[in-house]
Amino acid sequence: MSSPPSDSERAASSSFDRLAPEVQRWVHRREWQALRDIQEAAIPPILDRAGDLIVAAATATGKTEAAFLPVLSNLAVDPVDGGLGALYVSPLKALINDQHQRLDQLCEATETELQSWHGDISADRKKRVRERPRGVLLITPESLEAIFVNHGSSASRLFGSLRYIVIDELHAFIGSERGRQLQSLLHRIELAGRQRPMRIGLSATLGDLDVAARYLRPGGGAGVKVVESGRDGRELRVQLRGHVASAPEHTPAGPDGDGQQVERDRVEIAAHLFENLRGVDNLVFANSRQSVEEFADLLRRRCEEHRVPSEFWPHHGNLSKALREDVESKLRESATPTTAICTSTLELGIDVGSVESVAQIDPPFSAAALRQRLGRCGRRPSDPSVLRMYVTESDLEPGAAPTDQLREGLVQSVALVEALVDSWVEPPVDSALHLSTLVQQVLSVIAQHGGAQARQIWSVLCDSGPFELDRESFVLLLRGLAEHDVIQQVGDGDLILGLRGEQIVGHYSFYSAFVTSEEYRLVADGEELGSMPVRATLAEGAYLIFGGRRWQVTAVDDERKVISVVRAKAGKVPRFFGGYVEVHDGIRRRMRRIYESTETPRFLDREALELLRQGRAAFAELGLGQREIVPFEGGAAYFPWRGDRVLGTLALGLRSQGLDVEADGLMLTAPDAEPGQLREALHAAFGPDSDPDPVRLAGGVENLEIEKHHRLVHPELLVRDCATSRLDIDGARESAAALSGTATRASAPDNRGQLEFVVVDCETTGLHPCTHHRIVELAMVTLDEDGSELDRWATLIRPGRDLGATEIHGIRARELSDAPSFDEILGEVTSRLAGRVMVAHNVRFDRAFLEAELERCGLDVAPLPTLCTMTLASRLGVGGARRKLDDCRASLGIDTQNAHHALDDCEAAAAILAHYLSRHGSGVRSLIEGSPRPSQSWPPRDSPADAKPRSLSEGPRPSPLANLMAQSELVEEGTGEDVVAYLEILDRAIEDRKLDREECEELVATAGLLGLGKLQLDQIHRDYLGRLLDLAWRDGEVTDREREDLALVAAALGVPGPASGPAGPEQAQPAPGRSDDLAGKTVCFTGTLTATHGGETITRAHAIELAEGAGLVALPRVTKKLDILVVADPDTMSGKARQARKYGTRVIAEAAFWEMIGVEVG
Amino acid sequence: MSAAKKIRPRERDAILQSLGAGIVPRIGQQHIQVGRVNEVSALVGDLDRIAEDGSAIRFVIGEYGSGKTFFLQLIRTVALEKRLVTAHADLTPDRRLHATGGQARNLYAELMRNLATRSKPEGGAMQSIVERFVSSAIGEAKRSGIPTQNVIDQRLGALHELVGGYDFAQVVAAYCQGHESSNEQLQSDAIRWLRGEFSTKTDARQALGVRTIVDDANVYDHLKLFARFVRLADYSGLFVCLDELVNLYKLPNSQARKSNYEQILRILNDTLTGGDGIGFLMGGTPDFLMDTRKGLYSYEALQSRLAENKFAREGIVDYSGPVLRLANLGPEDLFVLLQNIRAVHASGDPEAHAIPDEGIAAFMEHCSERVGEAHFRTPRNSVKAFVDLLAVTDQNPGLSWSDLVGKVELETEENPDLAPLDPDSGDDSGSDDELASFRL
Repeated sequence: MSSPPSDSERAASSSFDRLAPEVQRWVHRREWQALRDIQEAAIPPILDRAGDLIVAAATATGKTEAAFLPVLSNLAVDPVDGGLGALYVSPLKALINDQHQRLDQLCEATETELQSWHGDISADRKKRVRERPRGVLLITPESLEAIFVNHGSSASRLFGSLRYIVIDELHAFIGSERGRQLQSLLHRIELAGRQRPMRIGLSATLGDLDVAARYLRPGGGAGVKVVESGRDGRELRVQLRGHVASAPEHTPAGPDGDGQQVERDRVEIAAHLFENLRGVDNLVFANSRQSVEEFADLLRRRCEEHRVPSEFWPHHGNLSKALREDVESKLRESATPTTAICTSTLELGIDVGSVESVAQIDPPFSAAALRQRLGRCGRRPSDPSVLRMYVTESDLEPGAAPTDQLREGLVQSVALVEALVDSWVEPPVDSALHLSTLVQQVLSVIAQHGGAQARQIWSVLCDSGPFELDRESFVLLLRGLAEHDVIQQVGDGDLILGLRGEQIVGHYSFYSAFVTSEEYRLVADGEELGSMPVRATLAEGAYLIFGGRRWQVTAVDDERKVISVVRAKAGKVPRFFGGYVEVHDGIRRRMRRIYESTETPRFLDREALELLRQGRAAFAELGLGQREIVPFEGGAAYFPWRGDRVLGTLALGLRSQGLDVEADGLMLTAPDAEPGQLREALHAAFGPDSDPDPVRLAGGVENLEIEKHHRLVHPELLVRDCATSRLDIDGARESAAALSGTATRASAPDNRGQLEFVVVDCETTGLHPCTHHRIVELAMVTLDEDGSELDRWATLIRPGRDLGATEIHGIRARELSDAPSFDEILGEVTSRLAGRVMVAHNVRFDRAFLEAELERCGLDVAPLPTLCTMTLASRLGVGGARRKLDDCRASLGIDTQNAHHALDDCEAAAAILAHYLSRHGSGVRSLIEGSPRPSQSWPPRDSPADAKPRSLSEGPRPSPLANLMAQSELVEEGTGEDVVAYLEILDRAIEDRKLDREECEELVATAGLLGLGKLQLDQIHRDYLGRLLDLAWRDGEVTDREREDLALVAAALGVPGPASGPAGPEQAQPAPGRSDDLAGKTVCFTGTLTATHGGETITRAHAIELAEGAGLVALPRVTKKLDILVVADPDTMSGKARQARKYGTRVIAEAAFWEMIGVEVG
Repeated sequence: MSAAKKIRPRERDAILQSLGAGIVPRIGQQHIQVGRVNEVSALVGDLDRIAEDGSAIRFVIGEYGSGKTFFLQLIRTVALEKRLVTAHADLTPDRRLHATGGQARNLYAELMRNLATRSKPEGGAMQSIVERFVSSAIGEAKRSGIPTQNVIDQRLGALHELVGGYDFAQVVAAYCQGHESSNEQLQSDAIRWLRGEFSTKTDARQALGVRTIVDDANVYDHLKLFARFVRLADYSGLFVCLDELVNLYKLPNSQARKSNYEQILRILNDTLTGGDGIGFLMGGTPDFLMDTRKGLYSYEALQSRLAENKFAREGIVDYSGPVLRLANLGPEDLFVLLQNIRAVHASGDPEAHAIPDEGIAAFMEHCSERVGEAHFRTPRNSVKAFVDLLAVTDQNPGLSWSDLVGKVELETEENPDLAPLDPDSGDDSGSDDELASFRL
């Protein structure tokens, strides 16, 4: 349940109210109904400029405005004097042009200057910015670099008054060379300006918010605030179409005549695209520029063949700006149906308007990219996201490679779609040293200042900056640079550029941190078509396809790097060299589960289903469910089910053991080794006794110089760079351990290894095991590190005592008759706990019970490692101040099913965990208490009894007070976690409106566990009651039942009751007469009454007399009609009490009853 | 030890303040000057030649901390005494002799801001120079009975033959006009033009009716014009001090370096072949001069002209060539320097010395323990610390010097733009010696 609507409305207007009047007017003119939630959330922190901020939301949720409404408000209200006020950094020039248009009017409305600066902006306009820096500047990282290199002395003037730096598409930067360059530039901006502007990161897809926060503010990630919009509730329609490749055939001869050799599956895919995409705007993503050209050509020819205007246009980074912009504008215009066949160029947020659907040819590599691509689809929230995927598998011949047999591409695609559905994306990794980029930054700092001291360069870039390199290694780096004549030293110790360094810095390509290969311009009739990499050797007379059309080369000018072409009928697709993307661990694990599962995903077409069936059959035939290493062609193949980085590391380690090993998709092959040998080598390289040295392993990497300035890096450092950026030793060791152990989870996840979780929920007879309360229902859901469910299990348990709080858990004794006892399911429980972190909502509660049960079975129970989802909820900011499970469920949009139904509660907690993992990933480790124990420490034990899950009976009926408590924020925002945990237990205790001695003891035990003192407890109880009271008064009156409840709670907690009335104006309202509200109710007494009245102990008869005097009707026994049962001793399990509980009759403790009817007792 | 002569409070304070801030004092250098008699006399000879319508150029070459800047300032004060107008500036990445992005005009503007005369030794003398030209013209007009305007026109005629002279004369004339008609705007525009502060020709034309401005391309021409103009204003000539020429050496672009060296060659050729009452004194490091890849010697024509006397080696010194080598101060020189500073601090009264000679010795020992030999190579920080020490003895008369010497902290020189924003976040422990004393 969420807070009342009035609250959110108030919050809404308050964010809007804080904007500058000019900005408000602009919003009004746009006729927006309301601010988007992400805008609501981002405005206050940006206006307050307290700390840095990440704004994470799906595409087209108004992120740009979320940042710029408050930024421009700030600049309008308090204009910056003579300098830039805000900087917007974008990875793409096109995005800058786009945002310029988008922000133009808003800036005009606030009279703020808006300027752009990137490679295509004229020198004149840049000069104007330099001479008169004002307002907002949109810029690329490369242009920032150019400012430092060429106008180093203006940096302090440009950035001295900067208040905000907005970084768009934050995720696109994390982990890359360019990302590190940007971090360094941001740091240097602060140093030049001698102040810290607020950093605002905008991102659509974020796998791990903690990584993103650390990226945004290195060394200060914890201080970065995150605002995130609710999940994208858009309907997802996916179809995955399978194809089988066969011998090439000729394309249908088009009007151009001569056809090209094209494989049949390509023709089929093109035909399907042609039939389904025409008439509307679409994006078709292919994995390489080559495929883009191939399909653009196929589709254009098909259009010509059908004598319809072509709607299919290629778009990739090698095409000239004019051609690309032409396609973009066609997409934006609604009048021209356009389908762009593109590479990742259109993945990022260039505004191309809305497209109807997205298609993906060949398996994508990463969930992040797939999600980003899908985000281009449908601008209105009501539009479904449509994704068509086309996967081609090879025609199986006898002796086909296992990866072909396994239909790897198809299964990878299925895994990626499932990741998409689960909102899982790859957490970015940013562990690399990035020495190539460090070289660039060293040179840039030198150029900026005309020379600098070694110590200061280190301080700027490494000590206070983003590079992690120690002094000693930095010295080595500098010496390496000096050897290449890149730097030299002058008399005062300043390092300046050497002659080679001057050439490097002087060339325009210096500004980018990544390799920009030298390319030839492609010109037809004096018009530039785009560029081609040098390596695509083209001779005169050669044919090629470029820009979706066919050409013949007429001349190649090596001097000017120009290739002249004329239109031709024939053509061959030129080869481009695209980037290689690694497949992540999470995807490979999903793939394994898909192979092991028998479920058929609904989004597969017939042929894809057949391919999946074939893949699963191959999986079974290879016996991959039971083993990771299989014999293969006289050698062995190893399936670690890990990402490419781990595979690469394993391959290096195995090679270091003398094995000839190659990585092939998801497997490693060793053609000369028996499976046993492979296993041994693996053990030797990565087993428990091994000490794999990443640097030594990296020495075996064939091509170390992959980044721009790697050739200038000292060889010793280069190997280290490779070790940090391309190896995953921990992952490799985990794979080895998983292999050698008896089970796949033999290795104890330590702080660096893989984590698994077991989410637990117990329903219990009481509150604390200290009074021999027991578990009556136990549910366990296991999750892997990514939050994907591994299995779920639940059972009722015979507690061997009375059922206690039946009205809470709703379990009836008859259900328990054939349930197992705890020791009968011990094996099930310990196998799930072993090596995992126990997770629960208010985990202290469940852990105490679970540990007590385990101890009772004679197991040595060291404290179980735990993680509390209440803590996670607080980190996520869901569930309000109390982080009650129901509230968390509601916040996360999880169906509220049966509360206090162990499996449902367990699932809800698992959902919170999964949500947290998808957002913060690695950040979860710091929240775990204790360390997981390996399975060996639990005695293996068969479970003699089967689990007995609860039948879906009706849930327990909550009492009115329980309703009241569930509705409300009973604590203030910011209440300590211990107190919240205590209140959670208190809620359970008091849900039946009584607090018997046992419950008191249990509460005291809980408080002791949490370290809450008596005074503190008293205060907690008073606050608790006070809030309950305020809440009861919120609707202007306190109903009788509420009053009774309050009185009971007050009495139970031993604090002054509701008679004192709430604080505030409502106090004036007279409390209704006391005895009246129970008048006419039926009452029954049980037990020996203990209160005294007029100096004498009250007898049963006296009690009846007093009750009737107060207008109640006394009954001798408990019937369904009875309203109130007064119990002398709340501990009593008398027949009457049990009966009353069964009927849901309210049970009131004696003292409380007397107080309610206004009888003074002693 | 220097003679016990009285030092005026103004000089005393200026000297101590400058030294305390780590910069070279602009006046009173003679009170603390140590040694270098021959070098000084060579330069005095240059100054005399300039004052007699001749010209001179000298490259003062010395290691970091050898006292180049001090020497330049010392000679500059002598020049002022000889009724020369002086202009001085440090070269920086943003101030050079040749550029296309306004950096050369920046240098010119800086020189003009620092324009000094004997009566205005601390700079900002442009207006008084122009005023003097005007009043001298008025004086002559009165004496000769020729209308003032004619006298001015006649005098300015001497400028026309030089490149850009016509517009320069126009601007000076405009000032005179403004002077006559009390048009302050016109006067201030003229001064701004002369100081090189107009950045566009359009503005200059609107304000003064001239078609040119001082820009990157004509900086040296304007210096020559200005040299002639100061003589029209009855000064002996113009003496230009350019310091930190190492910044040209540090320029990261070989073409930019070459263009600047070309300007130096042009100046060198002009000054060696004849005179126009202008002299240049340039301070630079041995790298700047001798590095055949990036230094002046990388420019063939300059190397042949600047090659030093083959016989001047190892103690045999030739003071006649354009290159003047400054040797580093030795410990003895530093001792005398500190004595001199002590004397300045005591306003020249030997009775008022704040610290005895053995105190100076102890101070030097302390410094050399702290920073080693660099303490002698670059005395700036030691001098700064010493001035601080003297100030502390002033404020705490009760404390003895022996208590204070041990507490002296020596700062290392750093580029403040590169300093971390949170001083405590940086790991500034002594463990980074490896980088602090990093040598390739």
